[in-house]
Amino acid sequence: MNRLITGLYRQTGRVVVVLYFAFLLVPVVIMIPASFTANEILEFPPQSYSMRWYEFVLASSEWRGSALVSFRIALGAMVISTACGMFIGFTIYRFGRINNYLRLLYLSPMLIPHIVVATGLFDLLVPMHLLGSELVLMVGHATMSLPISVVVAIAAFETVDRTFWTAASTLGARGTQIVGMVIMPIIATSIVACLILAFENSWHEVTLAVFIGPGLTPTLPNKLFTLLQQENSPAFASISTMLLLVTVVLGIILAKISRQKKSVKVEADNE
Amino acid sequence: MNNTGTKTQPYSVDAPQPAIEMRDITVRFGEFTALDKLNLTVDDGELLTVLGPSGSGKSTLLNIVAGSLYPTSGSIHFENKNVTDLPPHKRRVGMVFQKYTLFPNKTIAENIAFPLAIRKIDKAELNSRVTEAIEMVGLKELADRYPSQISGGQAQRAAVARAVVFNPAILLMDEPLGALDRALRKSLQFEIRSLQRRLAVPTLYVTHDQEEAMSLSDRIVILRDGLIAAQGSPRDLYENPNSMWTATFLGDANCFPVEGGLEINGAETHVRVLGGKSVPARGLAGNTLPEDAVIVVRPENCIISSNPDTDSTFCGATVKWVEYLGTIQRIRLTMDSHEATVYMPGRETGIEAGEFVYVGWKAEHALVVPRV
Repeated sequence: MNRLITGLYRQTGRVVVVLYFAFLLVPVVIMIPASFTANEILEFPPQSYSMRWYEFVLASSEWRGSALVSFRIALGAMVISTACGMFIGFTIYRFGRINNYLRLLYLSPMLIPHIVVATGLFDLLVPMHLLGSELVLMVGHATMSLPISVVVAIAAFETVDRTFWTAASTLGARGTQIVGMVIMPIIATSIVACLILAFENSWHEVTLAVFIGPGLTPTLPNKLFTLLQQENSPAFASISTMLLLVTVVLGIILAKISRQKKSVKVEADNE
Repeated sequence: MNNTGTKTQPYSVDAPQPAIEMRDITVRFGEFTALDKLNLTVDDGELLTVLGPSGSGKSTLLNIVAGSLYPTSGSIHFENKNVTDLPPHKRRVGMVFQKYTLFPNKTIAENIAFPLAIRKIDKAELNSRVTEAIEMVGLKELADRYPSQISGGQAQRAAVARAVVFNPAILLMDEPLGALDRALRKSLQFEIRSLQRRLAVPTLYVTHDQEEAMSLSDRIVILRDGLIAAQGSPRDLYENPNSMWTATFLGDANCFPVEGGLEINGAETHVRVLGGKSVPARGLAGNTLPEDAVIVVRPENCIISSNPDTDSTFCGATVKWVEYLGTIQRIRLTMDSHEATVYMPGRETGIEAGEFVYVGWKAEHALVVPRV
């Protein structure tokens, strides 16, 4: 009886996992071949293959402009979010646990619906003539990815023993030297992970970009969204494929980093 | 604090200079007083052990010297220079911790070079000093390994090398052997001792392990509730404890409350214990009994026999059990409703559980001390 139930659980689990990945991957599987169509409309499977939509997108100054805007914003958001996250992580490392309300505050971007933030910001920014500012969107994206950055940072600082600080300071290092020469190298991989996650978070963010982002040259996801509403061009598939490529590359870097960390751990455990 | 008995020879024949001096150090955490007007000096080249039960203020004391904690009042001086307000990195303190604090992303050599690199010491000199330090602790072959690739004992040796490579004013050791197993602890104890002798660096060693303190120290300071309960050389402290508390904290001791009856016959002093029995004892300053006095007799100084003798075995006792431990056997007794322990050499036989025996001691081995 028990074995039957366990078996049932296991089978159900398998089905759920398969369905989940199908849901996740089918659009991707369709998108990639579709982006190579030689036709004027999006079709699957394509009748004939060509690179014309890639050429079109890469040649288009509009798309290139959007890509640049997205990249700039993602880069800025990544730096701001990681810096803030690491700062919070460091504060907790040095001065102990953080107040519960404060913790709720920095985790709140994860809880509050983006649309609420977006509409609220819209009302606020219009009178300030800041609607469409790249800088504001950058800060907005940084805020949205702050919870991830903080969680990564706290986990990173947990690997740094508290006595390292005392040890380094008795050995003659000032606070800045301890951070630069002892702590940073230990958490370097986590910082890279944090940068990647924050970049990725901004790179594909739509809601804020649509509501308060630049209008003339919108971010890539914003432009894609607008395009989708108007037409069904294969250009859309080729852009998505390129975006996917960026994500996959970043994902591989992340996986490499976490593997490296694990192997260092395993080495330590073997001792 | 210790006002009884003889002073044994210190570590150095010349009059030692204080390397570290703490004057009236008080540390309060809210209502709690961790250290209360503590005065303590560590002489040049001396290995001073601070021993105490947990919560006695050992760690607080160490943090005060390291500079990671500032005293509520009082001052601390390194080589006659007031460092009370200096942060740790300006103090020249080498510290070894219970946990392994080698930086995981640096090799052993890089770890040992760290305090020199921070001080921007010339490359050639840095290299020669690092090499010297690594050879000193016998880790030459492991210089390019990472901390995760060496054993706990090796890590602590590297940590010691890192703590002394920059010629600190004082070496602080916070239970450095606490995380190691017994056999390793023994051998490392010896290594630390000989290294410290060779470098003659004043060392403040904190531990809760009495045996470790006895084997390592030039001098032991026993902390209790933020106060110095006793201090002296290991032998002095063991043989002439200043209270029953000190006697029982440092090793085993039989303690019998004195019931009065002070008798002085020439050089011999007798007091009454164990239901009015007159026994020989010493340590009566001015020939007056302290209030709430006890006599302390170490188990190895007790004489045990099956026959009574007015000079050596004068107290009747019942053997409860005999523990054979090889070098010694620990005999547990009941004497007039008091528990007592006697150590007898392992080779001797003839004392069995349940037997009625006679126990005694020489006058010089029974010390009259106050209870607290």
